[in-house]
Amino acid sequence: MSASNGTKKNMNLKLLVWRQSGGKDKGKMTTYQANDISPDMSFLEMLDVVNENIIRDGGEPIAFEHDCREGICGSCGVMINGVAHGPDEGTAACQLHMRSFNDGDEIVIEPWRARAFPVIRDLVVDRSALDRIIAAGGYISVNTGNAPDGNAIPIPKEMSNDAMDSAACIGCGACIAQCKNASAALFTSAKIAHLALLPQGDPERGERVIRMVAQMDAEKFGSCSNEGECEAVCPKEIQMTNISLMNREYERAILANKK
Amino acid sequence: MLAKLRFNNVVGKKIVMAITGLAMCIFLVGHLVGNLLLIWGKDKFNAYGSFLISLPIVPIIELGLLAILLFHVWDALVLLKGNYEARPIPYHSKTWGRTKSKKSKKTWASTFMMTSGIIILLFIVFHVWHFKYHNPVASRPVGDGHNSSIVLFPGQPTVGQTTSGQNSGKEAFDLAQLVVNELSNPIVAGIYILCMITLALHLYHAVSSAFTSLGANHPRYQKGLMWFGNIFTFVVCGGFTLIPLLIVLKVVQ
Amino acid sequence: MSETITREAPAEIGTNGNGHHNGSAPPRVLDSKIPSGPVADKWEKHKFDMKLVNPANKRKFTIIVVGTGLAGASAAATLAELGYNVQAFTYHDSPRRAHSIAAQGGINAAKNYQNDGDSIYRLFYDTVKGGDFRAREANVYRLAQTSVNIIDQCVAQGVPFAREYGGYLDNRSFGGAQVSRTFYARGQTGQQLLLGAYQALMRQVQRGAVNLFTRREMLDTVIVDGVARGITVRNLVTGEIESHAADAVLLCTGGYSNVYYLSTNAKACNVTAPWRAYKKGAFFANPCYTQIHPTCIPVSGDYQSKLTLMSESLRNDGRVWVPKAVGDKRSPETIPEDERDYFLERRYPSYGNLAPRDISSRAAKQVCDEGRGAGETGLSVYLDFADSIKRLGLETVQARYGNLFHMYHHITAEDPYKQPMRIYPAVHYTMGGLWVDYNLMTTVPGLFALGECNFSDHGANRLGASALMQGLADGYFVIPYTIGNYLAGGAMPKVSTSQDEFKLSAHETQAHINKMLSVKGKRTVAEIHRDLGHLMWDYVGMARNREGLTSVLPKIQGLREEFWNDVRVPGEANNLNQNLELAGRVADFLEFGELLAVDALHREESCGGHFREEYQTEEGEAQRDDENFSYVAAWEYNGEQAPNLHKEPLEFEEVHLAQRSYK
Repeated sequence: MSASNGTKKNMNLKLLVWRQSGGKDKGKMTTYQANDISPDMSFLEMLDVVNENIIRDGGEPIAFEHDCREGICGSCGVMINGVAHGPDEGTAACQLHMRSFNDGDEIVIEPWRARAFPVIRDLVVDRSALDRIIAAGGYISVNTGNAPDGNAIPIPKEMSNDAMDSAACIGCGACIAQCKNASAALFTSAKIAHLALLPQGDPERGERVIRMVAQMDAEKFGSCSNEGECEAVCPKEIQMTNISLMNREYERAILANKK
Repeated sequence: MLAKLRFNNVVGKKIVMAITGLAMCIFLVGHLVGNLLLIWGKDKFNAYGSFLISLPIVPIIELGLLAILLFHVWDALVLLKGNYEARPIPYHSKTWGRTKSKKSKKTWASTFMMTSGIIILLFIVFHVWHFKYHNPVASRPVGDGHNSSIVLFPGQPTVGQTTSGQNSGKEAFDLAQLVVNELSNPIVAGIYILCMITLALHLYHAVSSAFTSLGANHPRYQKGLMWFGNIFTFVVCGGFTLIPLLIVLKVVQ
Repeated sequence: MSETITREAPAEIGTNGNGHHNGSAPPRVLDSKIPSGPVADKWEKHKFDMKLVNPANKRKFTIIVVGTGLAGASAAATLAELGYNVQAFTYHDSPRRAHSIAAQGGINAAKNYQNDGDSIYRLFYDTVKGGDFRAREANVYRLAQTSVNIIDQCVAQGVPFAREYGGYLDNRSFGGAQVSRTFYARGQTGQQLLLGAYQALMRQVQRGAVNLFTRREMLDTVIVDGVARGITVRNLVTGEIESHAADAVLLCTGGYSNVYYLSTNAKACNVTAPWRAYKKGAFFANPCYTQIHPTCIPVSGDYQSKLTLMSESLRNDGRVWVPKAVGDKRSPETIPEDERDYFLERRYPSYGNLAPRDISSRAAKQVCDEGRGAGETGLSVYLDFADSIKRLGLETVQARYGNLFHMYHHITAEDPYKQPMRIYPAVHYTMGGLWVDYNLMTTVPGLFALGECNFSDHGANRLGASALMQGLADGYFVIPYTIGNYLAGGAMPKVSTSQDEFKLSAHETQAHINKMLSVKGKRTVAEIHRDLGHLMWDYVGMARNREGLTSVLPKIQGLREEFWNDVRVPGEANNLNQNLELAGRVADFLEFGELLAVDALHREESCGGHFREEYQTEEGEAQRDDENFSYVAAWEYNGEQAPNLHKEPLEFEEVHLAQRSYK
């Protein structure tokens, strides 16, 4: 990071990559050589280079998900040496640069591992479970056209900022991948917190948390052990306090629940 | 009732874990206070013991504690199974599971919660048997302090008369002496001390974690709760360690 | 300077009268269906005039929405709320990945919360003027009108917009606007707005009102009896070609900046959906209007896969310069003041470093072309904060730009507090797109285009913070009305995917895929895409000229031939094959690039994002030709032949045409 442009020379790296041709294939780790890698490349650009070489050699390139490459779409995400999104904190894999590595390094690249995230191919996993958690209640039920004036309800700046902190989640799934229990607590709680902190979200608070937690459970994610590994790898630095907020919301909801 | 309150999921179970765990912590405080009376004086300790035994509510509390323990253990096992199944294919990378980040609260304690929990469970079984059902001859003279009855004497009667509150009293049942006798054996004391260290390991993660599970965690109070957990762990486990330590060192005789 | 213009009836007009069939003759006027009456009343009047669909009947209509970005997700959610049966398609794994999510700056709305003189009319006026008088007045006015509803809607959804201490919504001035009308949620406004629309969409998915198809890429529009009745998609996981039938099809598939290979768009952004619709009869309008953003992080090497945009606000305090001498490669700190050329301040004394996007971009390109560019590649200019740090203090600069400096430092490993940033322009947004009428319907009945995908309300140049506004206006507040009018027009015959039209489309789509796989040549898809990007950037980029445009056409054709003769697409068609997906998109870019160049060649004037070197004032500013080019150029596919040009004349009743001047 502190290295300035040009001070670091191009590197040769050994990659150990998970290859799996499809959902039914068993898959295995395969070794690739990544040569002449510029430290200014992003991690995904390094994979691009490796893939171009694989194609030229007549092989099939490594499938990995990516899109915006500026750390906001949440598409990318692989385990890099056992750490979701790699060694830089608060950084998605697409914004991780090769200057974080050294010449001769061996890099182990694996897909997110969780029962709820079946591998589709190579490093691509199915994260639709996260969509289903949102669908279960991660919204404010307001039809288009129903809205009062934007300034009808003043919202304290601090409250709005807190909600924004939670709402910054990009849904990449790193928290789940890193958690020893493959728990989706940070993801789910970030949305619950975002909406529970705002007055607009208040009427549905109870129902929302009960339904989202039930869905999270149904997707077979593990439980939260409060270790905070999720917070450590979150590219948007979502905090664990969201999880305790979710727990609090949940208690409040089940105690008040009439059904 | 519980199903209706929806404790039957990953969040609900963690709440149950936290409530039962904290309840046991409260018990530990009471237990510790009572035990420390031993350092103050054996008669104080025995008086306290007989007072407790005279209370008719004690068996109910004991049953309650048992239920709390069972809930705690049962939920732990169910969660363990769920967590195990949540990631059927492990990571290849050997460096997985430790981000080295300052934000991570992962410690040896949190990693080995299940192991420490199992050791503590075994200890509880042993401890209850040891001082409640395995009733060595309580009024046996103290002697050299090495005739600890825990040393395997097959055929020792395990059920004594002392559990009935009626014929209690210093003469009939010198609990303090029993404790001193038992813990004078360095091996027994060592077991107790090791188990207390395990308990400390468990509580080090458990107390602050329980607050998070209960939702009491908050950016402003987070640090305070962490400290509370650490201090609680140190005081409780330190206190419990103190007794066998002092007995082995013959400070308490 | 203002001028009035007289117009002749457009000469080249095609398509026949009833509008329900494709064909070349007899000719008809390209009807924009703009309602009559004063501009301020058109939308209200039109809303009343439009036919309604009985609530009980809405569920009988199926509507396909392709794309789930701001326009698509908002449209799908709203139509489902109304009771329509919606099918939403995205090639991502989740609707939340759409590139709308990357918009940083904010969203404009004529709320006038700041009491600084803003109004619907002013937003309308600014947008028409900013678009260099190449937008439809009626559309822009409607956009300004609905902008206020968008903010209300988003707040109600829980979008955490920035607030003031009193709890009321905060605004900032953006992109040189003279009023503060931009609402924002940190630097993640697009993300928060998209998540709002995404959550509304997922709510309808949960209700069963929207059937969500993820990891499906639309590859063809199916036309039955001249009307769009369905789409052909590829299931990206299984490779299966699927047919889906509906009563109307909405394309909300974004822009085509990636024809330049390097752009600020996400890697997967492409022109395929509108391009394949174009080949089925939808007209493509104004493809040459492309917007360049001046403050992007420059390219560092051949491996570069995309460009990262930094907020334009940096130019508020940064000074742009290059060395005066050609080939001066000294490190910037060592270049003395009098050997620096602060070219924006020099050329535009009153606006200085804040000159509009297109003007500052072109100026940067010019100095780099002269060989005075900074950095190893020579393709960047300095954006220097040294003076600001001296004047404002480090802390103030940190407070204003801390996160941007951090991002820059992270990507380039250069510390902007110590050495000047380097920036370079990059393609960022495309104003062109499928031609649509006032109801957002393309020239193919039943086929609608929303958001960046249509030729849009931005004319030849989009103002900052207006893209989010347009996407959401189309999805939340325009299409729900206009589609009802279309569907209520009369009972449509039932269609089924077993009909020949669907089968033929599926067959052609599969054949196209098989053809790409069977070339088995030597060049990778990315290489060819990169080559196309170079051609487009060099000849059809920021500054274009007749010579360059004429010479690039055969080059694009040659590259296209090379693709079909020598491309290597690895893998198979029946599973997840990212290179195959890319190949299909690049194949379409190779065709589309040519149309873009043709449009740029035909438009013999400079306006907004289209700058022709032959048409500039003595000071080097863009010179419009309102007499001859005040029209929308809508291109009709004509097989292997050159495309037919149709013109929709633009009439300005409210806004006086004027030369933009930023001196």
